Parts: sequence; C-alpha cells; structure tokens
Amino acid sequence: MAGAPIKVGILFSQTGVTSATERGMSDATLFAIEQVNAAGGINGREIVPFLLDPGSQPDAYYDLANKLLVEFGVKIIFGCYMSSSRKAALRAVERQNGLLCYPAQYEGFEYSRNAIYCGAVANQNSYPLGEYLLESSRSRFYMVGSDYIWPRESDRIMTEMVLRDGGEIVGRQYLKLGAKNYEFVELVKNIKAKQPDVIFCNFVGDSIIKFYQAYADAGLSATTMPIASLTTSEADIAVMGHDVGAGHITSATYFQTHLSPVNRLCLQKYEKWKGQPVITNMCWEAAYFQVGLVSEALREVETDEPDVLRKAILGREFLAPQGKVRIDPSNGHASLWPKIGRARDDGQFEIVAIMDRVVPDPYLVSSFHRHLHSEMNALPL
Amino acid sequence: MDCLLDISYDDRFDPIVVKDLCRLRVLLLQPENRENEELSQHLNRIGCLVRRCWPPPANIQDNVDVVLISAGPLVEDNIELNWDADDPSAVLIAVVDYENPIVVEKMLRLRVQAVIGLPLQTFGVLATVLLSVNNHRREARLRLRAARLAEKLRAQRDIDKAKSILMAIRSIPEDAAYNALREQAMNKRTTIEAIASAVVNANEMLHLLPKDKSV
Repeated sequence: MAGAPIKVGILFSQTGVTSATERGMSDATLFAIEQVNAAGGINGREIVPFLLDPGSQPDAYYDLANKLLVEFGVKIIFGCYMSSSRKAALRAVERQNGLLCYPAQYEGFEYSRNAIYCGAVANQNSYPLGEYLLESSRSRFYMVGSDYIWPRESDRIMTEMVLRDGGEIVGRQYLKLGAKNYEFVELVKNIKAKQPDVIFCNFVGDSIIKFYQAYADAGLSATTMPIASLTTSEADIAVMGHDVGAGHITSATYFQTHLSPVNRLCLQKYEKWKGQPVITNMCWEAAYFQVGLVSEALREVETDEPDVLRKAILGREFLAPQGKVRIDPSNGHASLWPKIGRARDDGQFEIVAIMDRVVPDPYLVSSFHRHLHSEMNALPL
Repeated sequence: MDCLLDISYDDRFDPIVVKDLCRLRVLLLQPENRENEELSQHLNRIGCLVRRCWPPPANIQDNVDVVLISAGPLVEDNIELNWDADDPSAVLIAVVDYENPIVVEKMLRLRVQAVIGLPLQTFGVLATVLLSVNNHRREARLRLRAARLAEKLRAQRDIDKAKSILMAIRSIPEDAAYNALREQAMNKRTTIEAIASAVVNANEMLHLLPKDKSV
C-alpha cells in the first residue's frame, strides 16, 4: 500500500479472569482492521496493529498503554473491558494525548477528551432491562454480583427503578472476583430460601459461569425465577453449557441472532476469517464497529492526531451490526440500540424486545428526572 | 424552583447528592475562550443548569446556587467581584491557572469553597462542585445555629439578671423569683425572656440597683 502505515494499539487481555471476553474483543478488532486494510486501508495507508496482553491486571494496562504510546508510537488504542483497566489505561492515554476507544458496557460518570465510549451506559441497558422485568410483573428482586464498582452502581440504578415501581429487594449478596464454587452454592441456597421473582446478576468473568452452574445444580427454574443480566453473553453460555443458560435474560445492544443484513454478512465473513463456527456478543460487536467508525474518520482527516481525529469522530454515524450507531458530540459515548434477549436451548438468544436507538446519558443518576426517550416495543414471541 | 441551598429545614441526613445536580443553577464568570467553553460544556454534561456572564455582574442574584469565577482576571486585570465573603449567597468556586501567593491570598480573602485547576481535567469537577455545595450548606447551617445560641445565651443572661433583681427587691428565694417571672409571662401571654428583658430595662431606668451589682 502507498503511504506510511498507521500504527494502532490493541489492549485486551489474552490471559487471566476476563480473557474469555477480551479475546473475543481483540479478535473483533483484528478482524475489523483486516477488513479495512482489504478495502484499501486509510486512503491507501495500511493500519498496523500492535497487540499487547495485560493479563487482566489493571496495573499492566497502565504500563502497556504507556508502552504502546511511547515506544511503539501509536496514537489510537482499541482496548479495555473492566472499568478498573479502563481507568488505568486512560491515565497513560491522557498523559500522552492519545485516543482510547473503549468497547464495553460500563457504569458511566466519565468523560475524557482522550476517549470514545462505544459500549452501553445505564440508560441503554439497565433501564430497558428494568422496564422489561417490571412490565413482566416481576417485582421481587434478589441482587447479586462481583464485588467492585460496576456491579454496585448497576445494582443501585436497578434498585431505584424497582422501588419506584412498588417492587422490593428481597436479598442482596456480593462475592469477590475469583470466588470459589462453594460460595456460589451457598449463595444459591440463600436465594432459594427467599424465592424472588428474578435475580439481577452483575457477576463478571468466570463468576458468571460458576453462578449459573450453581443455580442449575440447585434445580431452580428459569421460568419462575430467571437470572437477568447486563453481561452474560453468548460467549459465557458456550462455556457454562447451553442447558445451564437456557431461559435466562440478558439486556444488551447486540445479540448474535440479530437479523440485520449487516450482521448476517459480518458473521459470514468473520466465520470465514476464523475458519470455524464463531460465537459473538455485545463486546465483540462494539469492538468491531468502533474500528470501522474510527477508520472512516481517519479517511476524512488523514491523520491519527487525536485532537484532529476526535472532531471527525464526534457526531459520526456508522452502520454497525446492531443498527446505525452514532458518537454523541456532547459526551463522546455512542447512541445504541437496546435489546432484551432470552437464552435458547442452543446457546443463542431469542430477541424478545427491542428499542429504538437511545442517546447515551452517561451522567444519568436517576430515572426520575430525565425520562426515557423510547418506548420498549415487545416483539411477538 | 425551590432553592437547594435553603437551610430552613432540618437536612442533616439529606445531603445534596449527584441526582440533585440537575437542579443546581451555576453562574459561570469567565471570559469567552476555548478552554472556558470546555468547562461550560462539562458542567452541562454532568447535568447542571449553566449561565455564563463576563465581566461579573454588579450583583449576583439570588437565583444562583454556585458561582464559578476565573481567578486570573481578578488579580491581573483588576476585574471586580461584588462578593460578601462573610455571608455568601452562593457557593464560590475559583478556576485557577496560578498557585502563587498573590492568587492564593485572593482566594482566601474571597473565601472560595474550592478551586478547579487549569488545564482543565474533567474528572473531579462533579465531586468538587457537590462537596463545596454541601460544605457551603453545612457552614450556613452552623452559622444559623451559632446565631440562635447567641440569642438564647443573651436571653438567659436577662433571666438571671431579672431573677437577681426580684430576689433583692422582694427578698424571695431564686425559685420564687423565677416562678414570678413565669407567671407574669403567662398572664401577659408572652415569653419569659421578654418579661425578663422588661424587668432588666425597667431596673436600669429606675436605678433601683447599681448596674455593676445587678448580676
């Protein structure tokens, strides 16, 4: 190709507790970069990725982000999954004036001139889930999750919705990241005793698997007491077992089963690229589309200088597998398409409700003072 | 719109929290430029109602909860801010690009509640605004309580004085003197403090007792 290549960094853990999800995200990024290059790159310039493995350790995200920016000379980093790792990487990215493209759902309350946020925030996943559950007459909630900031905040938001609508929280329990199997068995016993209508689950990483398996082993039924989550995806269900995941509910902006032509075509190409059947999820999709969106901006301004590139990214629309997304100019987060999925017997989700595109509101604290802009459209089952 | 800084009710357990940001009326006193625009945008982003003005108005109106002002022009350009540091009507936050003794002294004299440093880091602005609003309200509440206590102390001194006067004139014990004051207050349908104050004033007028022995 003509012209100097554009170097970019990729910072997703290939090892450690969140590597299952993050490997899917780095695959999506590499796949998207190859597609861009195959289509002529950035006006003839090739995108060259440098992938480093932080091993699910937040400190390593800081060190390796610095390394990418200073030693490898990249300006753009596609990366991070957990908030702790994003915060760590962002410290380096802000100091070096780079651009971090972050493709995971998170708790909001952040804005950086050196980041764009392509995952869902609360008004794009928590609120749709809360509305769906409360409209399905599920009012007795049991809250569980991994013990760090995102699950706590997610719980707070959902609790407010539940209490406002006259529901109740019948139990609440958090376990450390990396909790042991017997702790999940104990937890499920406690849940069984309380008989909630629904369990709101904010576990991440391998805790998701352990929790769903403990639930299935206790003989509980997803019909009467489903687990509802913002993180449990196709990738997790593949690990826990299709029968274990079946019937449970997830709110996300993308499911592999989404029937858009863009998604079908993208999956075909991805499968060919991988050379085997593929499993995708919301993090995969955001990691995929943010590369395409940033590439279009790169083509327009022909530089990866963040201060210039950022202006071309803000306000930009991109036809993603989930639908046409847009980076909101006022807060750097993405307008996205919320969906509710119920896991089927084959490990995939049946999409049972879908919303029109929702503008991100990362500083939204309460559902009381800013109303939701879209109504949930229940799909025929 | 109700005033967030209102302290007339008991709000010890009701701090101003993140969801109240959307009711905070912020007056941004900064010259127009790109960097200041970023602060304005971020305040909007976190949900505040932002109004901008430059130079500072002659009077800060009551319908403002938080005033943010660029410190530089106050020191370098002799820009005036009409601000009552002893009884501020709103929270004052300075936006500073220098930390030298002159600027710091200016901040201390205005008794700003917090500073936001330049170059602007958006992280921390939300917490700075919220903490200073809550500190301002707590300070106002403490001031109000101190004023009430001073008033009460003055009244108690009058009651003691009035008791001493009655005890001396009527040669009665202390509890009888107190009962006399209380009965009179009930008959006149007023407070015991008011009766005590009247007795003390009358006594001074009539010189029945030398002032220095009246306590």
